[in-house]
Amino acid sequence: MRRLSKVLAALLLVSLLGASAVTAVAETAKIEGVTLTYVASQNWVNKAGNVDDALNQKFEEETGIKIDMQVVPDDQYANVLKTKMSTGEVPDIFMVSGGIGAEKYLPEKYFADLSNESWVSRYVDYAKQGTTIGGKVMGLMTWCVDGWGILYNPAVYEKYGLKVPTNFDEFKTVCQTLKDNGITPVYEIGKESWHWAVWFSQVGPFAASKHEDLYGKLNRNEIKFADVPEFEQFLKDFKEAYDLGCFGQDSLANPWDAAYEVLGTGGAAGFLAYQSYQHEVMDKYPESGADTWQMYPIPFAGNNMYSHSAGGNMRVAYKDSPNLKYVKMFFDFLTRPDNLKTFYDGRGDLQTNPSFVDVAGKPTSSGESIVKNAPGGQGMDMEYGVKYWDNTQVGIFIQEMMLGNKTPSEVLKAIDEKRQEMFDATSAS
Amino acid sequence: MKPNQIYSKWFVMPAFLLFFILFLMPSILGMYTSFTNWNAMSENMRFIGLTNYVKIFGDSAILRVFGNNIYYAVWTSLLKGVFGLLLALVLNRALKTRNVLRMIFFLPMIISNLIVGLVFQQIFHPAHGILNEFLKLIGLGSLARGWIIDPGLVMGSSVAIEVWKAAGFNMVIFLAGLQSVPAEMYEACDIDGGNAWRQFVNVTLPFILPSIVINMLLNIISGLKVFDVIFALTNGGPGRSSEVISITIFNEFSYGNYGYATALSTLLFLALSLISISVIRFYMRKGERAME
Amino acid sequence: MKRRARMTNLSLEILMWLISLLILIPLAMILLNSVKNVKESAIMSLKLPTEFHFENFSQVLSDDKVVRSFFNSLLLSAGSTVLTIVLSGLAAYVLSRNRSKGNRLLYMLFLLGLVAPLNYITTVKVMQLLGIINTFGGAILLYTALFIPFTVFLYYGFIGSVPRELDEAAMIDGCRGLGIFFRIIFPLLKPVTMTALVLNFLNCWNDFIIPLYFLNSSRKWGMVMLMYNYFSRYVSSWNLVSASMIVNMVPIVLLYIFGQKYLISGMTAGAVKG
Repeated sequence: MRRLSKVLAALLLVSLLGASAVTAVAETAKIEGVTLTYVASQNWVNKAGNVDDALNQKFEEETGIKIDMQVVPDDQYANVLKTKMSTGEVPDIFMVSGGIGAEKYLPEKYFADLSNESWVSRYVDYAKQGTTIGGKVMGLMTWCVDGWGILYNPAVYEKYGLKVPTNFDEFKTVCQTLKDNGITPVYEIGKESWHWAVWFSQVGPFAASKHEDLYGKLNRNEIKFADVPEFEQFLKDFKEAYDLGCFGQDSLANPWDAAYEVLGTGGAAGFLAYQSYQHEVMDKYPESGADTWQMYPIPFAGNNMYSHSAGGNMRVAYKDSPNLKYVKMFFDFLTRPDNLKTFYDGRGDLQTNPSFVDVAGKPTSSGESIVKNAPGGQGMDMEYGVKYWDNTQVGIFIQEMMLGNKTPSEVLKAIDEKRQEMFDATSAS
Repeated sequence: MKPNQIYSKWFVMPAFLLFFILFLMPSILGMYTSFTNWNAMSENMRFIGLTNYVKIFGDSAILRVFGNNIYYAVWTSLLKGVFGLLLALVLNRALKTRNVLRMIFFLPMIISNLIVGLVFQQIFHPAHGILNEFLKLIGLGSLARGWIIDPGLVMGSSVAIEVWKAAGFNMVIFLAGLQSVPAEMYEACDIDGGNAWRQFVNVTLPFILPSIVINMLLNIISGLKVFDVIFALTNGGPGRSSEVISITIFNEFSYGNYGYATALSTLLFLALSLISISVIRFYMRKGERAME
Repeated sequence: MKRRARMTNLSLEILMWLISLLILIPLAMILLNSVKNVKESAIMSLKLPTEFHFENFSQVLSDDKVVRSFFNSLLLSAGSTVLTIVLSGLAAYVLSRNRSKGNRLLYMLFLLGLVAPLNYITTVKVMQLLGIINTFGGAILLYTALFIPFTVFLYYGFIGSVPRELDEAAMIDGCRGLGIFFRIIFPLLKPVTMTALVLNFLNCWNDFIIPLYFLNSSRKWGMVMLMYNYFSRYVSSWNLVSASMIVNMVPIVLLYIFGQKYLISGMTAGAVKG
């Protein structure tokens, strides 16, 4: 018994000494004694490398200001950030999605106005728009405007005499031929509920082209999803494609990581992806020839448009932070052309359309081909333009549809009900 | 000497105050937001009475979700208890490699739920998972299934994984209980000519009754509260077929329906409190009679 | 030992090892995954890696946050576990021996802690009021508050099996409350203490939620958080995740072995005499 307590006491002592020793060393190296707290989701920083960490470190070496970047698991991110806001523990810097997704973090209350920063003039158009809320530039965006489309292997299509489908019937034919030859037409990572929603999100611009101010009306609750025939038609086509086996056997079990192998080894000839995805496949499977692959818009319900995001994610400065001037220094540092270049070099997923004029984009063949394959033009997808859109929520409804538990119109009804709840909750409050 | 002087309330106060101030009190106070329209879009809250609760009771999907919880809680409690007890009984005997075996069966408890979810996603994968491969190998290929994509099977698979993970927990508690059985009692029973079963019922069982109650209650509570294991395995899917209440609560918080989510969380708390207090009071009364 | 008993034990032992395969196989998958390269580790399987990449471990261990986060985890886990055991053991002892109406009520309240949801916002506010938010001390106290219900519950169940006569004997010898507990009763509860020790330490060591909400500096975070540096929605290095998971598991395994050796081994049947 005494031995136990001795050992435990020793453990405590050792750990206290250890923790304080490390702190002591750090103490003497600091120059200015300022630490900026920077909260980000694990999905948004340091992807396939350490470029965010490296830049933080470089800033500290140049100025002595420390950056404490707290990487939060993605599914906890929104909850952690909202809790910190509600309790007055707002970080100096945090990241939010551009477009409508930023609203739930109450920009007017928490975001600093960055409209007069020197780097704003070097924004590319989409970045300026994506970071502007209520007429003010409120975020530093070093991201990439991107869209989702059906990435496909032209060599396989050519082998079987297939052309890029421009409508649903042609799509079905393409799928049938590929299936007959033992190739999954469009591999679906059905375990990820958000991915199903991304499909549906892409038909937004096309529907908006048929209904004036569709997004505006949806956001003012003047029209419902159930009232838009293109939405129901899209879901009907989507379900039909699923039933025909276009997405492979057991697609509901496939996780995100499984797609690389199937595509890289030729087991599938298509995948709903973003523009830089083909390079990720190429990195892992150099023999796949993935950098020659191309992309076309989802040909359901007559869709023929290239739909894209509002620019991606941005960094926000806390309006009432005592360290605001240091945050602005950090933003100045990040937007220096040499640092921008370092950043984009380290982020292979963001290179196609950088947010600043200082960095040249590296368009991919998917990016170029999808624009060519979209005679209808382009527009912003629903995830970034429609209020109260939640990929997980919509994705679960679509999964239920694929399982046969909901009809397309019931899916739309469910989406409307959930949005109505939010409209009710936010009215007169 | 009066009991209150030796067994002074002061000894309880440190634990109770710490627990109450930092945990129980904030938890209960926070439940008032379930009567408001608190949501992500605004930091003002409007009192709306029982609206959230009415909505919950009117939602048939939630009933199905709670059905998942009950199925899961009942099955995992039984199976974890039975396997845990069997493991403890066997590993309490003088086996040579007893300590190593105890370690092995406890190991799953140490692995993070995220990794458990990942590993079993792979094991249960319909096409390349080793479970189906194994079945095909031994000629039982017809039994191969979509273990985590077939809505009818997915809860059963979750039960299996929880038993895999936490039978070791039950085992550890049973082992602690078995340590309190004096060796003399076993010898006495042997002299009286008792067989293994009689030995178990007459000698072992009374001593491990506390462990049984502890395990059963904790199993039921964790079964009704489960989140991590299922979330990591299926996210509640496909669709909502493996959704459990904690996942519903988590999702509602993510969508921004904070008041509604708190109402769900409060209802879960009330249900669980009722269950645990009834079980304990029942056991306490029985125990009191048996003690003296 | 009788020959028949020895045979039974042997066959049981073999049976146990066969059953343990159910556990060893998934574990093997994780181990194998930790020495594969990034591409092969995307799908966990029993396939052997084409090359063994033991440097995954050195990569995980050379992360400059590893040493600090190890000590953070150690401080939080050891601190909260010790505090929990001392406070809970004492409380459960009194509640179990003296079952007055008031004590029964207190016990019920402790039980509510087994099922109550942790409310982040109100708890942060309470800790702000007390001035302990974002401190190690505050986190230790919070963990303790969270572990007390289970530990009290555990001790309460087992204290009943320690006869009251021992208390009376100690009192005759001149011991008072605290003395009776720590000198007589507590040593007899070693198996329970070890169980509570391992389980609470384990829960604290593997927890990443409390630091997220209550410790606002990543310099105070524990080892389990490092795992999250290696994966994200789109790009994951599952081999590094597996490796960091295994590194994270080692201390607990060591603790369990320590607990077995020093706490249990002295407690073969016959602990409660006379």
